[in-house]
Amino acid sequence: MNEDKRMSGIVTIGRSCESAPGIARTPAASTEFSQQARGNRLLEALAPADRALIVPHLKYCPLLQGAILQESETPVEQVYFPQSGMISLVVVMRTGEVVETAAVGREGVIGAFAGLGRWNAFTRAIVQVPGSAAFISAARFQQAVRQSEKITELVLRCKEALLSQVQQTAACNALHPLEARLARWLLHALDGSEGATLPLTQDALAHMLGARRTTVTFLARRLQDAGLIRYRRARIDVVDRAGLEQAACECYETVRRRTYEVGEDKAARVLDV
Amino acid sequence: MPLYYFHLHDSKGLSSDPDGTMLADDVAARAHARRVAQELMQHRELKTRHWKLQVCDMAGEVVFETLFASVDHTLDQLDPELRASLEQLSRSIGGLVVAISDCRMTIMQSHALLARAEGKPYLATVDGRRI
Repeated sequence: MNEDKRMSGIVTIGRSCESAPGIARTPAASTEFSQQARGNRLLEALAPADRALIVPHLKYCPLLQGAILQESETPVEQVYFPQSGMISLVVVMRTGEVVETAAVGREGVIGAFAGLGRWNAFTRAIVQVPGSAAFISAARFQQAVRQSEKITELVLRCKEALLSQVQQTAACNALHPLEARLARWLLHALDGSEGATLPLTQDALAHMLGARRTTVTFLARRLQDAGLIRYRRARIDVVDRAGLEQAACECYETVRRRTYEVGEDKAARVLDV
Repeated sequence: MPLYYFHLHDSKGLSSDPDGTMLADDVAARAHARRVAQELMQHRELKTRHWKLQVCDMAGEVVFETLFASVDHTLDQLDPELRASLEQLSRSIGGLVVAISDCRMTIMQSHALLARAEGKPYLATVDGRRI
């Protein structure tokens, strides 16, 4: 019954990558926005003074596929700013079944609400598309939040953007066919990855969409027959991005616009003041 | 545990299941087919009601078929007689669609054959299926 063995065999890195030698290091200059810290849109949108409260305390880690960055119902210890890749926020049911409720890439942050005080995560954050992230301890991030209104505002805006994504997903699940949702999901994943190739198994896709693998196989084949994607074992190539956008529901465009507005609006305001 | 193959007959013809799924018995296979059909047809019931899943065992023998209309939740309110006739209609449409797609394929094969005989380029696949 391979359908029921969800997410077994996953390596948890999360906290452990902080202590891994050679991976985590702090940039030398505190105010300088080092090359290493670039990639995350929220960090890039911060004014230098606010950025200086965070960047010196950042550490860096690769995001390995399947790694769990935060676990549901446990305290958030690190705040992650993805620089590439995509992380799914999944709800874990008592049966062990997991379903994605939102996805976060370099336009967002994971665990930011812990900046307002100790916080237990509501969802499990699991890496779907590998990449890299900058992270800061929740305690350090709380200090930055206390010192800067702008960073506090950023936390609240991100929470609102996430809520908006979850609302859109709820409506999408209630109205749109799975084929359109699959197309939408692939586009999200593509935004977080470097090229046009997604290292994804159909099992992973099935878990994320909360569907049977048999179903996802047929849907992926229909997208392939339409010349939009090409799939092999554990890898999907997007051949026709514009076509995939046509096949996706409107929710892809809505979520992307709103998420990007958080960063852009923020940037505009920071520059104005 | 036996392996079951779930082949899909949609509006474009047959789409075979390459991997199969391990399931306890025929009862579990029926439940799986029902779920898969419902996931494929969700929110587009009208367009997919005539699709069906053909479930085969490891020997390739057909164990049973699941017509999408027969597991369509949106028809649950109908009275049984009306529902039965709607399912029958969907079955006929499915048969018709298969016949039309077979005809179309035969025509394309003839075109390809003629072109090949004349040494001209010809359409080799359509919708990812070989002619």
